[in-house]
Amino acid sequence: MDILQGIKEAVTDAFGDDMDLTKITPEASLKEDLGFNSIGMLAMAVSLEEKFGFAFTNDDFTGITTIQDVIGIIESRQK
Amino acid sequence: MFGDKKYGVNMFFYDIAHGIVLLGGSCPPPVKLTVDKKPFKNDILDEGMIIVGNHVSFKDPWYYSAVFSNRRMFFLASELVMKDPVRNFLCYHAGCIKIDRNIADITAIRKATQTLKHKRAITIFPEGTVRRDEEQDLSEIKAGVIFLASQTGVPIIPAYSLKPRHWYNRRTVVVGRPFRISDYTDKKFLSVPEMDEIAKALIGKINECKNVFDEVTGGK
Repeated sequence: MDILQGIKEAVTDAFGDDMDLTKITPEASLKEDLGFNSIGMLAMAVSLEEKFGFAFTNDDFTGITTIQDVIGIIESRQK
Repeated sequence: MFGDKKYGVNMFFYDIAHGIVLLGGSCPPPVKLTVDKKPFKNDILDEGMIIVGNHVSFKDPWYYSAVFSNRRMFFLASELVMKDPVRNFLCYHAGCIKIDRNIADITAIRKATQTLKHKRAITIFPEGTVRRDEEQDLSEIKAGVIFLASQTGVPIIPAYSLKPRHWYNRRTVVVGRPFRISDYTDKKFLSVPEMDEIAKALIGKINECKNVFDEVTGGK
């Protein structure tokens, strides 16, 4: 599965259909641009785990600020 | 058994700590009521459950343990409560699951999920902090409790209590009917707006307990 597409689907799972998917670009900031809070991050993480078949750890959430950071985590787990 | 580390906690130390907590919460024993103003019989469920109540004192966990005294009770506790090594040791062995509210603490959520799947009870104070103000209506709670209930399928038990006027007065705790996410939606995976909506319904159930509490005790 294309990672960015998977993230878009996970964001839709987490925030519902009201989320504007055109905002989801690698540069987009999770908090400022997309309005993520901790529960939103958890909901997205659970959806991503199901889609990509790996488990997040707390360390993964330390210091991630953009969609590109999320892509980086998924890529590193797929290697 | 000594050294048994089920649920990430040494159950030998847990049972000692839990016994002390139960003793603390039972002196004097709380008055336990249902929302029908009948005595609460401690036999409502034989499955994992999340007890959710207002948070007015650091002794609240003692009283909730005493109310649900037949269950091994765990607590979701803020990292601030367990910040120094002594408190961390005591809280950990008394069944506290540390959650860092500044991040999406997926480790704590996994630990809580495992605990619930093993038919244990977890108490959560979803306002996120002890409230000392006069206005004790719940107006907002964190949706994490809904997330946890939706992931595990366990019921939420709403409850309400306030500190008694004097330490020797019995504390009244009103326990609501089990609140199931499946009564509101068939979906297992809820979006944040859906969780927020269900959280509002849960606030209503806790405030039902509050109304009964006010009626019975005069709000004290």
